[in-house]
Amino acid sequence: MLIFPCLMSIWYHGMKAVYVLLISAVTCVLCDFFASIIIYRQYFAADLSALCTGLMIALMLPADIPLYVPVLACSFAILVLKIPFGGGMRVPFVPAAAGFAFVAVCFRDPVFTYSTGRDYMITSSVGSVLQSGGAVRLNSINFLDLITGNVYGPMGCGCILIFIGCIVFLLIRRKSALLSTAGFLGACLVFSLVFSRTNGSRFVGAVLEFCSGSLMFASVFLITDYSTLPKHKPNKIVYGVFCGIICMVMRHLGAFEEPVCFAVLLANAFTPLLDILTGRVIDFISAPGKGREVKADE
Amino acid sequence: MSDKNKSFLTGSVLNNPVLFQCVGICTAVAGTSALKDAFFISVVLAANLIVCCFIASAFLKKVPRYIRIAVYLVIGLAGICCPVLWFIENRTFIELSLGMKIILPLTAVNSVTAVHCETYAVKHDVRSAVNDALSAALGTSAVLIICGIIREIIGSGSIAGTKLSSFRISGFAMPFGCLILLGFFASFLKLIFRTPSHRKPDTAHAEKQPLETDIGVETEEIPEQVELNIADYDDIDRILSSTDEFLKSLTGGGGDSE
Repeated sequence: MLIFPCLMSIWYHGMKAVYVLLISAVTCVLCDFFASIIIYRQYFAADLSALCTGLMIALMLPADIPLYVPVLACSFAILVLKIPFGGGMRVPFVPAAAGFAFVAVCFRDPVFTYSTGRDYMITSSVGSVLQSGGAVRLNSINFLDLITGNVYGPMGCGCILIFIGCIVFLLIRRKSALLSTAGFLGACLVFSLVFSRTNGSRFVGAVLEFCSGSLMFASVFLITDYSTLPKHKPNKIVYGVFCGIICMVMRHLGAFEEPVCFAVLLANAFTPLLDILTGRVIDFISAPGKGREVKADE
Repeated sequence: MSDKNKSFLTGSVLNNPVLFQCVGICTAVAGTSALKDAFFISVVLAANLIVCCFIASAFLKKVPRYIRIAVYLVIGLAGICCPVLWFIENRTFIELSLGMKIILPLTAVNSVTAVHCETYAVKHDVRSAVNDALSAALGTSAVLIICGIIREIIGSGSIAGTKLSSFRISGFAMPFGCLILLGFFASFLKLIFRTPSHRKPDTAHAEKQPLETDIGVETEEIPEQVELNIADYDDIDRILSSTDEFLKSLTGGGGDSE
C-alpha cells in the first residue's frame, strides 16, 4: 500500500521526493542489518519492516528537508525503538511514529516548513492555517486540490483519495485492523464537528482537519501496525478513539502543527493496559467459577 | 586483583547504581544536561552518600528505620546540599542555572543514598560501608559526568560552555535523551561483561519465533520428557505394579472393567 503515496509524492515533488525516500529506506535497512550483526541476531532479508519504516518516515516529511533529518529519524526508529525492544512483533511503539516525533522535537523548523514546488491555491499548509486561529478564506481553497494533495504539507500525506483506497483495501483484507482506523477517524470527525477551528461551517472545518497534516496517513499506516494493536476487537476501537481524541486535543492545544505521531505513541503506551483490563473484565463476566473447576480437574 | 579491589570494581561498575540498580535516574535525567551541572551534582551526591553511609553504619544501626530515613534527609539537606549551594553562590564566581538551584537541594532525597544506607551500611561495619559508598559514588559520578559530556556536545553543540559546532540535536538536552543514553550505557556494559557462551548468533532463538501470521495463536509448550530410572526399583514386578496403579488413578479405577 505504501507504493501509492510514494508515487504520488514523486509525481508532485519529483527528484526531491526520490532522494528523501531513497535515503530513508537505505538508512533503515542498513541500520537494521548492522545492528542485527552487532547484537548477534540473525538478519532476515525478507523482513521488509525496516524498509516500510523508512518509507513511512519519508512520506511524513516535507520534500525540501535537509537529508540528515530523515537519516536521524530512521536511525532513531531502528536503533532506539526497533532493535532494543527485540524487533518484529515485540516493539511496543510504532517505530515510524517515534522517528518522526524525534525529528519533530529536535528539528522543528525544517520538519514543519513545507516545500513550494508547485503553484498551490493557498500559500501555507492547511494545518498552519487551522492553527493560526480560524481565519480561513473558504473561496481560496479548491476542494479538488485538497483531496488530491495539491497543497502544502508532508510530501506523501496529502492525497486523500489514495488513503480512501487504502481503507477500502483494509476493509477487504484486514477488517480487524480497520476497527482502530474507524475508531480513530470517528473520534476525529466528532471532535472536529464539535470543536471546529474555522469560522466557516463545521463540515468545512471537519474536511480541512482530515485533509491537513498526516492524519489520514496515520489512520491507515501508523494505527494499523500489527505489533502495537490491542489483541481484543473492542480494544481496537477504544485504541483508535483514544488516539483520535488525543490527536485532536493536541491539535487544538499543542505547540506542534501535526501532533498525530505523539498521539499514536501515547496510545501505544496504553495498549497493554487496555488488554489487561479487558482480559480481567472478560474473566469476570464469563463464569468465574468455571476457571476454578478446570483448575481442580487438573 | 585483591578482593578489596574486586569488590570496589563490582560496586562501581558491575552493580552500578544508575545503570544496573536503576536508582538515581531522576537525578541523572534532571541534572546532566551540561557538564558543569553534572559535575556539581556528582560532587554533592558523592559527599551526601559517603557521609550518610558513614553515619548510618556508625550510629544508626539500632535506630528505627523511619527515623533513619529522616536523619539521611536532614544530613543531606542541612549538612551538605544547602551549604554547598550557599558556598557556590556566595564564595565563588560560578553561576548556577535556575534549574540547578532547584535540583541541587533535591539531591538530599536521592534514592542512591537511601538504598545504599539501608541495604548495606546499617548491616556492616564502618569500613565496609564507606568502601561501598565510595564505589557507588564513583560509579554514579562517572555515569553522570559522561552523560553530561555527551548530552552537552550533542544537545547543545558545546562542551563546558565552549561552543564547538552550530549543529545540535536538541533532543539529547531533553530528559528523554538522557534516558536513551542510560539505556545504551547499560547495554554496552552488559555486552562487555557477559560471558563468551552468550556471544553465539541467536539463530536457534530466531527459528522459534512465531511468524507474523501466527499472531495471537499461543504455541503449546512441549512437556519435559521424564526419564524412568529402572535402577531405582527392586524388580520388574514392582515397576509394573506401580505403572498399573498409576493407570488406575488416571482412569478413576475403571481400567479393569474396560
